[in-house]
Amino acid sequence: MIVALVFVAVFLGQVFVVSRGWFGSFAPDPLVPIAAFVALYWPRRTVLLSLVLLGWLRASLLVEPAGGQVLAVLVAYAIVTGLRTHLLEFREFGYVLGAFILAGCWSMAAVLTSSAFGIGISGGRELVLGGLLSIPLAGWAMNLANRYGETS
Amino acid sequence: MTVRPSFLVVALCLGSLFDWQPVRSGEQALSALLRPTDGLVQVCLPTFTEPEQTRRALAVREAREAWGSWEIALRSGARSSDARRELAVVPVVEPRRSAQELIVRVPPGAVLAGAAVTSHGVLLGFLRPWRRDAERVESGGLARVALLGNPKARPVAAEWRASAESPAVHFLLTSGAEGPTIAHTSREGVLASGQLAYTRDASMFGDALPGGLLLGRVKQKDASDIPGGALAESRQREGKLESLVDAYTLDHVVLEVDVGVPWEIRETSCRAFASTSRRGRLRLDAGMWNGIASQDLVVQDGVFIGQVKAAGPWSSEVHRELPPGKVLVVSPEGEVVSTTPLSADWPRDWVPQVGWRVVVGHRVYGGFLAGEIREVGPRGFSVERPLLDPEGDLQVFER
Repeated sequence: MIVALVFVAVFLGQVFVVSRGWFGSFAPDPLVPIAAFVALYWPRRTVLLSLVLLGWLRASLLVEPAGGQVLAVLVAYAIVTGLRTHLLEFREFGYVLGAFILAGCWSMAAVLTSSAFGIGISGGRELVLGGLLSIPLAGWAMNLANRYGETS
Repeated sequence: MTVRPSFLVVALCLGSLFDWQPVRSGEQALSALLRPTDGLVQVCLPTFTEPEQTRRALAVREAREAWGSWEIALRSGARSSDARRELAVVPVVEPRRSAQELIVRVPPGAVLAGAAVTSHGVLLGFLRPWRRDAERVESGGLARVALLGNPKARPVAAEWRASAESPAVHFLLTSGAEGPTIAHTSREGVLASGQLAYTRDASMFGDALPGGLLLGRVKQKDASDIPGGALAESRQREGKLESLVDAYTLDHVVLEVDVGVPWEIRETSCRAFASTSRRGRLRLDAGMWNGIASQDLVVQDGVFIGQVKAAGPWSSEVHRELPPGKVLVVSPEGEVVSTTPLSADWPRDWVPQVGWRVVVGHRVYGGFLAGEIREVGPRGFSVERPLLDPEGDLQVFER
């Protein structure tokens, strides 16, 4: 499952790079809906490794210290997982809400890490716009979660 | 004892954020996953247009010429002592103010102890061996320069003249507790504060140091330093020399090297991943296994791209910032000034303008175009960096 996640993340990451080449910071980050899916429905045993890989991959694409993105995504995960039981009750809407909360926290954590360490860690608009991508993907995410994930 | 994985992850994250090189190097490994589809990404990205290439080629040529003319100015006044030796511009690696010396990078096996080190015709000091009993002056491509006033620097035969027609007053420049000290002034001569002193041609005594190199400004001893009586006369014959150049601020100096001895430069060619951002950073498809190390310079067709920040086994991270230290700023009229982007380091009454070219140099490859001044503020100027040609090869070499 992790291998599949990495392949999907690499592919979508490359799509993000291309869209960023054309649209700059208005390009939505497709790793946000994936990270939201991992945070809400992923098996608890491998969730840490999956999120580390997602943050690390984003850092690789943006040529940043991986520690910044990994730390930011883990902080966002810690907040989303605290709301997990409530978000699961709302099914598709909960997934979308979770994606936006995760994007906001990820972005905020990136800004705080940037200012704390004096290193540029990308967050901001791309991540929040990435949350928008979760709207059309909500149905698929629920199907996948029902089949392979943990929904309770 | 077991370590919780989350603690390990946080520790590694902090290692990465604190720029701990083993972690930074290891984290480059994941970029191998980007390689298979990188070509496809490149096709989809905006391309480099023809007018951009032409404009860039022109600017690159001007940058090379600016660096060349700056090197000529740096060598001015100095000359080699022997036909088998030539003057070379070498970079200063580390100024050591407490030891009154500079550490400079030199071609291995190409320098002699006692070689004069100059800048713009000003004598700064002499090369000295690493250890007292060592024959070699250079160690690992580095050499030490004992600056004038350093007790390890040899005495210099010097002179000053009131005018070109006046007879020269000869003296010996030695090292004292207060820096370069004037001693043994010729019997008929007296010192005058404020006069410029130059090296004297003493080749008839076997001294290879050329005459006419500027040493500094003569300063008589203060009256309070001189005892009264007959010794009062020594005030006119002894003094100090004030340097006109702060040698510790120099990035490059000139010294004699053997003709034709090559620099040993670690160099490799590679490409940038198209999958990585082109804003301020980029990722190379080569790393430590290809001979790339942290701090290496990255260049593309005469354009300075950036400096390697972290080198992984098969990939490296490059930051598109100017290297630390001085750059050359070239005005449209061709005036070249060596300075840093910070206004505190600018020459007096000199203010750069938007659009002036910025050039970064290398001891072997000369000048590279680093960009144009985008904005000039009270704290300094910022530089608009040239675009990277995503399809072009990159050259990576050590500083």
